[in-house]
Amino acid sequence: MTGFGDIMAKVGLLIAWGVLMGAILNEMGAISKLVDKLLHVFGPKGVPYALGLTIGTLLQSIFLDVLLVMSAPLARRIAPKLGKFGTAKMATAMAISLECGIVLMVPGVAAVALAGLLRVPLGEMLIFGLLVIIPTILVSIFIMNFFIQRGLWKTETDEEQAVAESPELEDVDGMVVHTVSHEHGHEHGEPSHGKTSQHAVVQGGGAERTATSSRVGLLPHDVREPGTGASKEPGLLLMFAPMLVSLVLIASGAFMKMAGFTPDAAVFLSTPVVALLIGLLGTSIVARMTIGTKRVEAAVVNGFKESGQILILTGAGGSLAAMVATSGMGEILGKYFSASTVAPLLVVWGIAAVLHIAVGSVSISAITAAGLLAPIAPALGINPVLLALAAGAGSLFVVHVTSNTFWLLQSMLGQTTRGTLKSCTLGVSVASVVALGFILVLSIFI
Amino acid sequence: MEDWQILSITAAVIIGIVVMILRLRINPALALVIGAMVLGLLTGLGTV
Repeated sequence: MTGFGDIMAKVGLLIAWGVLMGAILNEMGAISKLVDKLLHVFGPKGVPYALGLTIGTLLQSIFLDVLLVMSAPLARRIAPKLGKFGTAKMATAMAISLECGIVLMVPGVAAVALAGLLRVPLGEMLIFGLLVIIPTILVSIFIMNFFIQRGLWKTETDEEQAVAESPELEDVDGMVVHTVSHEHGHEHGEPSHGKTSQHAVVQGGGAERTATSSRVGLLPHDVREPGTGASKEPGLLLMFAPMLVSLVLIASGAFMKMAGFTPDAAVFLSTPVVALLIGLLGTSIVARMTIGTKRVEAAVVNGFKESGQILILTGAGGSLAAMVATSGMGEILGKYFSASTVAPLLVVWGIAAVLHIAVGSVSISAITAAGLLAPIAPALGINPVLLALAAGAGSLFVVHVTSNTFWLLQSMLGQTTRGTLKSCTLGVSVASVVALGFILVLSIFI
Repeated sequence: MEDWQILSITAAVIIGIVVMILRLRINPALALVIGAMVLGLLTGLGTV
């Protein structure tokens, strides 16, 4: 299967690095700490936006399902502080940012795969993805909150009353089967992250732990909430620094390429595989100094377990896409596209949207759409980064009952299926259209 | 092979994959690879 190999060659290592980095960050309790911080800094009104932006941009190295399972309890905890529609707002913000992030933001799995298939340099994808995703998340959450407050959301029918958290998703489709086992593993491994950080305190540690804690203890946030036990965790900036460094490296590589200034060393460092590896190494060093080698090793094992499934799925998507391309489908569609007067970006978006409604997985439909388009992309005469983004945005349209994310959001945030149709399906579709709008705006400039 | 044949075969295969994933509860990765193989065979790319 050359398709399988092709896509693995482009994104295999990147996905593995990303997932491992995410697993370690997760083990450090980075997510719960971050959310606490956000609530403190932005207050209840700004939190949906802040959380959305953070999930959509900063946390994309963490595999979507894991991210959701980890951050959902925090979102639920925040929700009551936002007033009557708290759950609705948080659920919408999470759905939008999770789904947007995975297709539009490097190192989100689908975004990396899209860039690989359409031969977009990862740095370019990162920069333009950021340009699109930030306004998209803000505007879509704003639109959704506007409607939620004006009668879209009915608490009685859209939220589970007194939900017992139900991790077993037995009546959902096959799409979820693999996720369920994976999620179970996680529920056993880390029962709610607040507790994990308390364990960390109990486990004790060497001198460096004490050193870290005293420094972190200076943060006003920890002074305010001394009971969380978070004071023993490393500082937020320190935890995320290695990952930020690698993202900056990738982005600066792209800038240098545009400027035509490419010294060898810089090119090497900004190669995505190298840059993410640096981030991964940095993250593990920070983690080792703070949570101990044992837990880092456990996290890495977990990370490898998760990445196996993602890699196989991505590769399988790639082989289907390659088969579709060699079967001649690409040329046929290309013939119609180049003949059509409709704006090609709209068509790309549409194909991804149709595929997504049929296939039901955001990553797979984005990858398949890109696979269909890859052979004809040069003929269209558009910057491929726009095609990649448009395919990503289209694949967000109507996330519904065939999506495992849909069911995770439903059960983890205590919504009814009806409610999830509003917060997740409608919310993410709004984001899909908004993103298309911003991509079209972007296409004026590049 | 005519355009419409390829188009309809591809459409049928994609629907088949969706059915495999949803109704027969086959793991998506398997379903995708099976679908890719069937697509290749039906569109006459050969067996190797």
